[in-house]
Formats: sequence, structure tokens, C-alpha cells
Amino acid sequence: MALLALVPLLASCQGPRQSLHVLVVPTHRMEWLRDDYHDQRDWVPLRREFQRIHPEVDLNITVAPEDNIKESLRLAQSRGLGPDLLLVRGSVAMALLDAALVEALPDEPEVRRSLALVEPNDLKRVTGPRGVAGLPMFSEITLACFDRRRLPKAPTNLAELLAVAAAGQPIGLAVEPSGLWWTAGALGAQGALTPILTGTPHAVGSSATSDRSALQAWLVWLRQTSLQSRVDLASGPQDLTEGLESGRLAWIPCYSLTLRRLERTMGRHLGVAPLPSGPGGLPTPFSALRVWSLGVDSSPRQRQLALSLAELSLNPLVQRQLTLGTKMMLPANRFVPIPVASSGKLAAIEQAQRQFTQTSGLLVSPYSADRVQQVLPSLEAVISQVLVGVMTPQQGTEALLRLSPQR
Amino acid sequence: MPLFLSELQGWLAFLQRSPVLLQLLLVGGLLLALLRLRHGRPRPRWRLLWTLPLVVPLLVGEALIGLGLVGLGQRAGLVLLLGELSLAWWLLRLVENQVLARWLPRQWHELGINRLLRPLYWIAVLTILLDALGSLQDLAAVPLGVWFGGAISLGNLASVLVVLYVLLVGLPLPAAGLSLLVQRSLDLSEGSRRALEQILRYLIFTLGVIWAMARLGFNQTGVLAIAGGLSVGLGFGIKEVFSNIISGLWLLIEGSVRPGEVLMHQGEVCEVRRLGPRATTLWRGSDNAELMVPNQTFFVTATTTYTGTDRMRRCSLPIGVVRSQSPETILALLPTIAATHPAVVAVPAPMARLVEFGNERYVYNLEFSINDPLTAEGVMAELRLAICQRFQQLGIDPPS
Repeated sequence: MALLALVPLLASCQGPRQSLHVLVVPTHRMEWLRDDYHDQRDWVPLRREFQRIHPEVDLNITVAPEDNIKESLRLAQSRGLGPDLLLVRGSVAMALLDAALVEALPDEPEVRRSLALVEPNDLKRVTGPRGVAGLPMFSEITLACFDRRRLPKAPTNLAELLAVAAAGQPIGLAVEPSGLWWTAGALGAQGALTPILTGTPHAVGSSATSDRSALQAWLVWLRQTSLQSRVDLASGPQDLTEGLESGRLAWIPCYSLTLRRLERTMGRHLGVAPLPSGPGGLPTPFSALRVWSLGVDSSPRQRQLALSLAELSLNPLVQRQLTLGTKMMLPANRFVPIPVASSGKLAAIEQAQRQFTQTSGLLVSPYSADRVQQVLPSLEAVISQVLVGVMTPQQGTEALLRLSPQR
Repeated sequence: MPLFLSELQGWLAFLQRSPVLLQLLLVGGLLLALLRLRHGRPRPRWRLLWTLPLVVPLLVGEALIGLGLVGLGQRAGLVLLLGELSLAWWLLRLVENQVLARWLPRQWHELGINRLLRPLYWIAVLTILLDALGSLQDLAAVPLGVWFGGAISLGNLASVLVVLYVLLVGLPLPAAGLSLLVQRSLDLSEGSRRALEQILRYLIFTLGVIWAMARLGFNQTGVLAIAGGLSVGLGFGIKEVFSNIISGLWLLIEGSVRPGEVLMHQGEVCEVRRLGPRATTLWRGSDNAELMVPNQTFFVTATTTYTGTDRMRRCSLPIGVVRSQSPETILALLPTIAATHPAVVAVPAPMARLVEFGNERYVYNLEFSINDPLTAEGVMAELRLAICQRFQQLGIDPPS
């Protein structure tokens, strides 16, 4: 500790070089992809462009899990050691802003210019009474991943999917709600489920009766599907991904974030497609908007650099390079076209994103991750019990309706 | 190295934040002030500062600084963290002084405290500080390359090194305890206990090395192939080292040279103190010297031991007596003198022999047995004196 006295001297000796602390927070249940989140290759276009403008600044990137992000930020901030910039899901950014663990974007001309580049619906997802919780950078979305050696093409609807399973090709479904979310749209239950998950008001025109029958139809389908011997119920995305990699499964719902890993392990045998539609309409893929939020501990200079990096990430050239380089990030800059012609994967991602905007009207309303975190365990418990037969679909429906906010 | 420098640069960037700088300056200032006060002349009003350990006023000061900062609405988490580390240091010192110093035998103090507890404390401090400044998990995931087919990360390597260090330094204590327990329950000799202790240490450390290799993901086939290749080089280069290690292990298992054994080395009786991996430590009583003898010496040369089957040593004391004295008298007298010495055992009984006819003197050999081979020289010196005194009493010329 005697060295503590030398610390200010060291600070003054560090010269003109500076560091910007960036904290990347992986999506819930995706922490096992930590290495991919930390992959420096993803950051090359942004880092290169940033260091061209600020050659004296180093980016110091760390990764922290989403589960206890509030606790770890509180601890770091009590010491004054919080990050300058956070890359988090939009809903998490909203929750952090409510807890005063991040700061709202300042109302400055440069920030306003950057916000104007973002799709208004995306902006709406991160705007609350306290201001804008973060600057969107890209989106992650759920898709279908399959093994081309076993399936020549992906099933386009639920009937085809079940036919694939009946023909002997094992398919995987996740028990967790965000992994099953796409089926809610395909079976017409999305309008009833969204308020349960996000706590947002019910859609205009919906009634308790219509919600009950939609939820019941969804749970009945899930129960009947789980009875098929070739349908594997997995605990989460990691289990599903490993199942596809090992050849245990032929088709799974997957997150765009897992594509890099799947491509690494499966190579050209990896097939990517939008999720199947159903009698209720298009599937409802789950889209996570990744946004830059500002830490509360930065010095004025660090804050300026943090804003500069966040704004730069929306630069059309950087966005295009990130999209092409990773083939899993959908640009948040609405003026950047997705180069679908050159990549089947990007075309599938773009189509899934289009499905999301068409079908998930309620999800684009701002909601807090706190509500989702609070309700997810109950929702997952009900779904699991219906899938394994502990509850009937009717009992499951009543249990879900009890979680729904008052009309 | 570039990565470390980049991390260091990142940590220094925190100093541009006024709350961080304020906390560090206050604690650093407090520490400097305390050190300055303690090095000056003691003042009666502040005598507590000189009587208490430095960490106590430091802790009190840190608590006051923390309370002050919180009262002013400032960040105090860093002061709290430094306070926790100071408190842990104080508790460690308390454990050292109040518990270990009383309960641990003196020879284990250096090992238990300086080589084990304090390094572990500093490793914990380093880990906590690294975690506070950045992400320990990210730092642990830093790749160091692929060795023997295993992708080595900084965290893996650090954890393996810490475990091996703890095994290497901390093993003697539990190994000694366990061997003592086995000795008591199976009624083993002290030599067997020490041998068991050594074997336990080798065994656990070997298991530790195997665990470390598995933890680092070393490809066993690759390691074996490289070991096979190296063995040729080792055969020519450092074969003596390996020869000594193998000899040491063999001697331990065979039990011919164990700690506690008494043997003859270069004409002197020595006690085996320690059988190390390379050399055996012998204690020579005549000049209280410790000799480091390579293990293979005992493996390739004949060794005289006094403790192979029992600890009894048969000693032989040559005595010259003038020819005028009747040999029968001397042959009867000498054993009676030896029998009076308390270290000389009754069975086998002491006996004297006439071994040489000289021109002026006959030479006799007094043979007797003792139970502690290390005391032979001392017993013989005392017997020489007793013989001189007895001869004088009987009017016999002094022996030569």
C-alpha cells in the first residue's frame, strides 16, 4: 500500500495515451459465447476507425454477465471504477437507466444526428421518461439453423417441421420462453403472451376470451409436439447449439450470435433460414437490440470519447463492415442496406428481422428487462410443466393468465 | 507483454477520475503520515501509535476517511476495499502471532507463515485488485499459446502454478501429520515414519503434477513423445541428476538409508537427517556439520550402517599396557571397567583380547556394545579416562 502514494505520480507519467473502458454485456443465457463476444476481430472495423480519429486512445474491452450486471455495476461505481461505455440489450439499458446505473444520452446536436440514423421503432424501444437509455448499434435475432447433410432445405411451416421429425430427423426446441417465442406468433398466441412477458398493455381489440383460447392452442401444440419421440426438449440455446454441432439434432431455433460458432464447427454444412410460420401466421422471432449506454463515472474527456465511439459505430461504412465481417449483426443505421445478395445467412437474418417488425408490434414498445427477468422463471415453469405433462394445457393457460397484467 | 501494458494503461486511466484519485490520495496520505510518525521519536500523547501494530491506526483512519467521504456524498468503495485488505492483513497477523506461534512447532513457523500464508494473502490481494480494476475472468482467458496440444490461458497457468507452489511448500506439514498418525496407529519406528513422510510428499506432488498437466490440457501422447526424445539428451546431459533422483526413491522404498539412520561416511559416524530428491543430508556429530551427499553414492558404494536391524554398535578400544603386567589381570580388569559405564550394555558383555606383542607393551582390545551409535566417540573417551584412573589406583603404569 505504500505504493499508493506514488499513484498520482504514475498518473501524471502516463503521457498523452488514454484508455476507454468498454463493458460488453452478453444477452441472458448467451454467456457461454463469451469468447465470441470478446473476439477482437469483431471490433476491428470500429477500433480501426476510432483509432484513426483518436490515435492516443486505447479501447479496453471487458465482458460481464447480464444476470448480475446491476450488482457488479453498483460495486464498481461505489469505487469510481465503472465503465465509460456499456454495450447492452435495449431492455437492460432501460432497467439500468431506471436504477441510475447508466446516464441518459445527452441532448446534444451530435447525439441527435446519430439518433436520427436509427429506425424510429428501435429508438422507441430504448426511450423512457428519463430519456434515451442508449444508442442502438445492431440487432441480434432468432433464426432456424439446420444441418444440410440431413435436411436439404429448412421447413417453412410448422407442419413441415413436424413432418421432418416424423420422418426420423431429430429437431430441437428450447423450454425457455425466449427460445420458444417464435412459436407464439406462428400459433397466434403472441398478442396474449407479450403483455405477460413485458408487462405492457394488451393490444387494442384483444379480449380475455380470445387471449385464453390463443394461449391454450399454443400450449396444446407444444404439448403434442413434445410427445413426438424425435423432438428433443433442450434447456437453452447452449444445449441446442451443441446438439446441432454434435449431430444429435438436425434442426434447431438459433440466435444469430451463435452463427459464428456454428460456422466454425460445421462449416459449409450449416444451413440458416427464417423460422417456420404456422396456422396463426408468421413466426415471431425474438430480436435483441444492442445499444451503447453511458457509464456514470467517466471524466468529461472520457465521456466525450465514449460518445465519439458510440456515434462512430453508426457510421455507414463501419456498420457495413461489421455486418459483412460478422454475418450476425444487423445494422442499426436504417440507411445501411443489408448486403443480402452476397450472403444467404444475411438474407435469412434480414428476413427474420422483417418478420419481427411485422409481427412484434408490442415488443417494440419500451419495456424494462427487470419485468422480463421477474416473470421469466414463472413463465418457464408453466411451459415446462405443460411440456412434461404435470399440467394440462388448460391449467397452463390459467396459470399464464394469472401472470398477465390487469386489463 | 503488450497486453499487460495495455491493461496497465487502462487501469491508469481510472486515475483521471476525481473520485478515484481522491480516495487513493487520502489513503496514501494517511499511510505516509503514519509511517512518518512511527519513524520519528515517540510522543507521549500519541503513544498508542507506537504500541499498536501500524495496521490498526491505518484501519481506523480508513474507516474515518470512508465515513467522511460518504457524509460528503462522495464515492468511498475504494477506501472500503483497501480497509478490507488492511483488516485481512491484521487478522492474518493475529492468527500468526496468537494461534500459529503457540500451536505450531518452531521449525514449522518459517514454512507455515513466510512461505505459505503470506504469499497466499498477497495472491488473494492481487486477485481482488485485478478484479476490481477490470475483469479477472477476461484476464484469465488471455491465451498464451498451445503447449503440448493444450490451449493455455493465463488463468489456467496461474491456477496451476499456485496449486503446485502450495503443494511444494505446504505439503511437509500435512505429510508430517499423517505420517505421525500412521506411526502411532501402526507403531512404526521413527525411521519408517520419516520414510513414509517423504514418500507421501513425493506421491502427492507427483499427483499434483499429473493434475496440472491434465488441467492445462496437455496431450499425453505428445508429452510422452517429447519425453522419449528428451531422454536421449538427458541421458548424456543431466544423467547425474536423474540418477540421484531415482537412487533417492529407491533408497526410500528399500529403506536402507532413511532419515534417522546412523551410518559411516568417510570414516565418521553420521546421522541421516533428510533424504532429498537429489542429495542426502548427513549430520556429523564431531564438528556439527551437515554433509550433502549425492544419493547415488549410497546406491553404488558399500555403506556401513549401524541401524540396519538394530541401533546397537560394537566398539573396539585398543590399549597398550606394559609387559610387566600379567595379561590375565589386564584381560579380567578391562571388562569390569567397561561394565561400570552406564552407556555400555550388559549383553553382549564387554570383553578384552590380547591382540599384539610389542617390544615394551602388549596391545589389548576392549570390545563393548552401546545402544546409541552416535555416542561411541564420547563413550570411548570416557572409558579411556576411567581406565587411566583405575590403573593409577592399582599402581599400573598408564596405558598408551
